[in-house]
Amino acid sequence: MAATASSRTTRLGDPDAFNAFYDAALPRVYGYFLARCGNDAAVAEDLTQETFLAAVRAIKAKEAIDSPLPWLFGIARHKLLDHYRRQARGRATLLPWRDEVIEALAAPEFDPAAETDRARVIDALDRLPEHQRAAVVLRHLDGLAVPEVAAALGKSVHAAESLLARGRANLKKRLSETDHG
Amino acid sequence: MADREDFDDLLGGLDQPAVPRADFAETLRARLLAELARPASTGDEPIMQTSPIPTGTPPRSFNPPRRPHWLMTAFEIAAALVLLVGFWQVADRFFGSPDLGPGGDQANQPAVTLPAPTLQPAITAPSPAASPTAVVASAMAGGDPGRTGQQFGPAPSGRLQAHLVETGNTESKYGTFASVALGDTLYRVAPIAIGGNADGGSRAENHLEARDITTGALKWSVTFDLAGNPAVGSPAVAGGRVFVFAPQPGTSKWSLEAYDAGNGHLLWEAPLPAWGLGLTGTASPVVLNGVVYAAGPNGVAVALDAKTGAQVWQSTAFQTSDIIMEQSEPGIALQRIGQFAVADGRLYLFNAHGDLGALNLNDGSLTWSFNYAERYGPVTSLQLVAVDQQVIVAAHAVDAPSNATMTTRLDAFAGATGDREWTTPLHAGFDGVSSMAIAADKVVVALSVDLLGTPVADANNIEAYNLNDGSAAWSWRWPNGGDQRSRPIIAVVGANVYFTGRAGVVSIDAETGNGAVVSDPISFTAQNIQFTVSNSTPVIADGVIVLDLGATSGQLAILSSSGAATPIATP
Repeated sequence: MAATASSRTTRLGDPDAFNAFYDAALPRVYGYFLARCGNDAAVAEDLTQETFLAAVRAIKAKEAIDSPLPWLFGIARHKLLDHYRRQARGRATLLPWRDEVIEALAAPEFDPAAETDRARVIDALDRLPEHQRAAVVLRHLDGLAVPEVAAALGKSVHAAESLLARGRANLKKRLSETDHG
Repeated sequence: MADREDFDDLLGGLDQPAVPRADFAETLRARLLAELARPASTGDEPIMQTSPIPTGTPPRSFNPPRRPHWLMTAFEIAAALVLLVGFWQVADRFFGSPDLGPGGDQANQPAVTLPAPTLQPAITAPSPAASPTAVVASAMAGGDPGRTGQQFGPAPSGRLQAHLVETGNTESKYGTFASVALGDTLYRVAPIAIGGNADGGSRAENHLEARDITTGALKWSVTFDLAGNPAVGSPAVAGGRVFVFAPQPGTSKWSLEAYDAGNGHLLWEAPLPAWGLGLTGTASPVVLNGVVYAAGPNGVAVALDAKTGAQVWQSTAFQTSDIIMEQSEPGIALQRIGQFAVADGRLYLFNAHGDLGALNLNDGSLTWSFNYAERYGPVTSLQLVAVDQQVIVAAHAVDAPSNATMTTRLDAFAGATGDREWTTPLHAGFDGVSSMAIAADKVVVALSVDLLGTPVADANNIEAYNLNDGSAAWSWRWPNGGDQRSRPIIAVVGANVYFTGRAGVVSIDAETGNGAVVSDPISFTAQNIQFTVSNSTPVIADGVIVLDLGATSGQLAILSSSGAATPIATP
């Protein structure tokens, strides 16, 4: 019986089963990274490759995987956070970012429900400072609770809440400033 | 409006499956299946045999180039099967068919399916490069393609007088990086705070400027559209063109842009491969014989036609996704990543794993590599210069996280083979070697002697070692233990080494090590604070020395001969 990506327990060490899993999971993993990395296909490919390679190494160690797709997304999330951290360090050496002054009160009224341009939202998300972006992605795209966001980022709950508040304010500001096509 | 729920709706809808490129998907599939089929090993296969420390004996064997381990495995399997089939054929011929189970002959054996190897994309070899040691009129960070620090000069003589020139713009708090000069023109990248806020916001535009090197007068200026990210590094100038890295707005990727050196018109721009990490302030393209080279922190390198920007080759042979260099001191480590040098038909570069690699300049293939991280531990600083069939590397490693143990050393490798020819420890502070240059057949190193606020005891600020055997040639230090926080950036004209310190500009004769301070201290006032210049990168051409005081000052210091008698000698 061919395994599917949503099988509860799947023996992914079998090549046929793995192929089926790969076919089902690849577009979702790739899409996951595209939305979180500014639609950068090259970055998404790199992270997708890293995710699947890490998954295969784990499969070889433990062939039967419970809930393989959520498991794979857990790996993907780790790779994403590593990527954000690398970006943060790379930019930090050039330009020690100061936290932006959040002028939320000065920004025009922004209605998220009215935003329909997905690419514009992804672009605005990608422009957030890395720590804020990571927090917003984990909370609002990955659906983690705030304590889980804090744990993933290695920060206190209070610090994570602060990052989320600033990230949302920044995102609102950026979407308000950009011209609507 | 419930803010959080609205953002859940706004962002939660971003997730959509997406179909990647077909060739990427199938290449990855093949690689994954091969990895799945590979027997579990005890650990990662070694990348490269490293050369042990030489003991004065002749060079050791050539290190084979690295290949993806799964490819090696596929070929090994194929080779083993060929041998096995050959054995059975011989056995069958001379001894009869062995009993192979039911049916009893080889025809009933299941076919062996090998995982399909995925080949590297074909690399198109460009026309052979001209002699890499040919003198070319070019200027880039580190002086020349080999980053030897050599500049065209001529340098002013005698006592120097500094003349401060306003650059006419309000600059951000983030200074310029290494400017370069060719002929009578200074080329620099100057970050400008958006909105003219001298205190600097978190966003900056960048101007690429050309200025008269003796007067500082602006010749032309081009604004990058960076949308919040500063440009980095130093321009490279050759063949009437100025080449510079520019971030692609809203992405983590970079482009290489070429401008007409005469008028600043954009000639072409070419996207660069993903570098994996941000580029650093000292990253600069290298231009040699009509080809412009770039290399990133992940070890990916490209060669582009300098006239058109067309890709000549792209090499992933030295690519790594590992980042070892950032583990201990990211601010220092990443300052050094992205440096590379071109000499003798090879491109020498580091990657973020802490490896040194040599790529063939014709096609980007990997000739050899040396693993610093495995040998020394987490390296925080790697620099190199390349000259005359050698590549000299200064490495600084810190034992993280305690920072209790530091190792700084200088290694010389044979350019063709990667054999280490000599090695010598250096006595340096926390930041290791701040810069290197070649002068008078010596490698001259500028050392950071700061040990978290306390100078390293008995440390020198500048040291020189003979290229042929690494023996110490001479050393120089600031008198009275001064300037212990200095991290000089040295420039060379002929056999004279120049750098700046708080006492002024220093000139050292590289033949003898005799040095002197040849100018008064250079200072300026900004925001009611007096600053004294130190560690600024000297640019030397057309009879002047130019120091870019970009950070906070918004000025250039142009030093020319004052005609005074002998400079004040230091003890």
